Amino acid sequence: MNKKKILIVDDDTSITLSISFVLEKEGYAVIIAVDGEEAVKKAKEELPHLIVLDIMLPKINGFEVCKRLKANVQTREIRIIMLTAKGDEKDKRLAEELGVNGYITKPFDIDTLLSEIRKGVANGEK
Amino acid sequence: MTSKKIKEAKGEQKFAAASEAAVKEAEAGGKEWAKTFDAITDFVFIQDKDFKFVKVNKTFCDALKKKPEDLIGKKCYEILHKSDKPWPNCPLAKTLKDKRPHTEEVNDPNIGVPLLISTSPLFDKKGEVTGIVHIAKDITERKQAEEELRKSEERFRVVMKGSPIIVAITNRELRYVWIQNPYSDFDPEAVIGKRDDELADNEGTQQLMQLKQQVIEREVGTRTEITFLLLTGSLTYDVTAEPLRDTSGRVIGVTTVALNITERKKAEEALRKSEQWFSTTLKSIGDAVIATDTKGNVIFLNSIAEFLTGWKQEEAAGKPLNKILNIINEKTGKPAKNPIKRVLREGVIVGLANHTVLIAKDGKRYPIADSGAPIKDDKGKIIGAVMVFRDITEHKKAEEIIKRKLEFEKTISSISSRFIGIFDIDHVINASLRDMSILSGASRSYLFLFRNNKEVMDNTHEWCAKRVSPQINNLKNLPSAMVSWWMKKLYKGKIIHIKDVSKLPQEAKAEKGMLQKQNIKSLLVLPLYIGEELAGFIGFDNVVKTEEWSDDDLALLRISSGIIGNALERKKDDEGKSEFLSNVSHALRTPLTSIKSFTEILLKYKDVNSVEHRKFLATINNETDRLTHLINKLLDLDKIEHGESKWKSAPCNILNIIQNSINEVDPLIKEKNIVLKFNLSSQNLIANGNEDKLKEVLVNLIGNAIKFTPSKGEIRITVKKKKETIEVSIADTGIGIPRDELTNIFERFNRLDNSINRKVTGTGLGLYICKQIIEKHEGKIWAESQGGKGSKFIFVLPEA
Repeated sequence: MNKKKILIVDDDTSITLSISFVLEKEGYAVIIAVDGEEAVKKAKEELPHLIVLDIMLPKINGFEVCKRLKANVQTREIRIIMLTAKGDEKDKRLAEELGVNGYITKPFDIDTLLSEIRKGVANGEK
Repeated sequence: MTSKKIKEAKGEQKFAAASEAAVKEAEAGGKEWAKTFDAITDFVFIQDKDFKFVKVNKTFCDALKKKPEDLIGKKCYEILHKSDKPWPNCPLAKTLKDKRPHTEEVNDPNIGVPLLISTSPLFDKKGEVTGIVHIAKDITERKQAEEELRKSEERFRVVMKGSPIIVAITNRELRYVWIQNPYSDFDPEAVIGKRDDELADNEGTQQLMQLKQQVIEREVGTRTEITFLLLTGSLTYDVTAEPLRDTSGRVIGVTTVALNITERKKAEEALRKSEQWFSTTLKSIGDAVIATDTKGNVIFLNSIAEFLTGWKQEEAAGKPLNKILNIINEKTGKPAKNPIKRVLREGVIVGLANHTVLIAKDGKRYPIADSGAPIKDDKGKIIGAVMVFRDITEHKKAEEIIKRKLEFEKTISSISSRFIGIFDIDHVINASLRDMSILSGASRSYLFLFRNNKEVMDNTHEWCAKRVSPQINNLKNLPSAMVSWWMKKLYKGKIIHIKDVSKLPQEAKAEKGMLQKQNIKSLLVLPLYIGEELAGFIGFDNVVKTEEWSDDDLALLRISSGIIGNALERKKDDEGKSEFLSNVSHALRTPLTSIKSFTEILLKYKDVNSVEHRKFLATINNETDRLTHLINKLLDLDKIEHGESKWKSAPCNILNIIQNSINEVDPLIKEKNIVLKFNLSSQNLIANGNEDKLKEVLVNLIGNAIKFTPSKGEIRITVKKKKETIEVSIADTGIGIPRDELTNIFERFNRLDNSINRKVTGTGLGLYICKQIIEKHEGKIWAESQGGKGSKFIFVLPEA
């Protein structure tokens, strides 16, 4: 059985470390990107099943990454879960408008994240 | 009675002459006696000393219906008076006695007619009286005239009794013969026989006498007013003087009728004064006055009315008011209803409708306010109408100004009140644009904000009148240089008020073309300040109402622009605050996320190996420190920004502070094997400041330098004296800072976006805090960098 590929995008190393540890434990294949540009690039190259995306990113922010991925035929179907410390309703609304599949604010519960990821991956397969 | 005497006098003269002739004839004894005396219409006869008739003339015989023979030898009293004794007052007896002529009136009923009898003695050569010539005249007519006069006098008395009229008769010598209702100062009896000047010698009485004299001389009546200045006050009489004639038409005196018109005169004088007052008032009154008759034809214009209508009194008189007072409705241009018709018809006061314009004869127009009122006589009958009107040009102007000021006030206060406790500033700005547009009559208004050092501008807010299409989305990211003339004015803080775009000067060619392309004919642009910085402008297109606006009005509008600027400033502050809060929240959440995640991992997964276990716990520990450090920095920041505005300042040696700071970061230097170099111009550099705070700045800057300098790199610290300041610089050999980030890095939570920075942990507050501290020392801090060749942070402090 092929492992589902998850792209984690965050500039904070301790966060990518913790999420990748959990996801690997749960049987996912993990790819990491530390800025917006790298995220777009790796998404196109790796075509992950799902992306866990931070908003406050170096170079281009999470919203812009989202926009670019949605604008690309190859990547527009990839599920995206926003994982951000930006808790404003405004940001959440903007993310929804961009068509993200989940919005989780930091700090987060691991179980919540995992359930969102599972849901996302499952929906993506239909 | 004097008048009688006058008449007598004439008669007597004549009579005396005749009598003398008769005597001569008698003395002559001539045969011609009968002839002469028979022709005389008076009775002539000669008597002897015994009263016996000697000779009689024909008239006498005819009157007695006797023949001369029947009378001769008879005694006169037997014939004439039917008496045996002579008549008691017969002049004959007197003449016989004193040998002198005598005249007497005899009124013997036996004779039947009143007679005036004159007797003259006849003397012989010895001088003895031989006879008496006796001439008798029938004075019936005279008697009748006298009676008439008496009766007429009686009539006057009756008529004039109790009236304020003095009626008097004076004889030809101007002496009073009769007076009724004399001056109260005089006893009537004292007046009779006196002349006026004897009663009171004054101008009035002299005038009265002259008047009477004139009537006597010219024999025609006259009339005049005479005022008598008396001690008790002045009295004025309307004096009518008529000649008084006897039956034969001779003027024998003057009747005067004097009517006391003192009161009337007083009333007239009062009226004259009031008329004078009225006419002066009409003249000096600022209002125009036109009076008409009952038909509405003009009878009078005062000078203001003449001026406004352009018609002179002489030309206007008799013409219909409509022609003189040509009025139209200001708005419709149609003839306005002239209120005079209603005034005359209904007798009520009628005001003109508003917005009435008078068209003068020469075509000039005046806005007027007026009213018409009926003129009534004392019985309340309408005898004409009067129109009072005034040029209200000035009044209207003043009204306009007041109205405008009120509009301004209203607009400004509504704008200001909207900005109190703002909720949605953009909505409020849009509403304010609308208010100001209505005030100025603009079709479109807009707010532009500059950015990028005022090189670029964006249309951020807009208001459009109905049927004006919005432009806001076409006006983003415009280069300010395209309106350079405009910008020049804005930089000077000037309001740009273009009443006619086609008249823009040559240097505004670009703006002119642009505006004309959009069919904008007039324009008003207000500079917009945020704080003291020109931040943009507010513009109004096609401002149809600003034609008459003064600089004061524009200055008032500038207040609105100021209010919007303030609001934007507050918005910026608010945005800064919420951004700060959002940043703080983000900065706190990040280490918290790590702490929570690793804690959860350790709780959730039992099979974490001991290496990972230790690694996760170390991360939790580090993130907790990071959190503590962040919280400490936030507290520092709050102290710098809100508290501790005055630090203890003292002269402090910069080199000592630098040394202490290096000691603090020494482990990091050693860790990265960094080479630290110094350039010191002097050993004794003393600045005025707070040692602890300055150390904080230096630790921060050196710490950053270490962070961004690769291992075995070099950091150079330079301290030099420049004029009265001490300049400290810390140069690293890191990757440097992009040019456009050199100022931003001093902002709160502004962390450089680069891979190295991502690896080093920071709060995003360090440089901001440094800037605050240096600025509180009245110093300056900035960064320099040439991409790739490292960065240099420099600060300057005043020397102690």
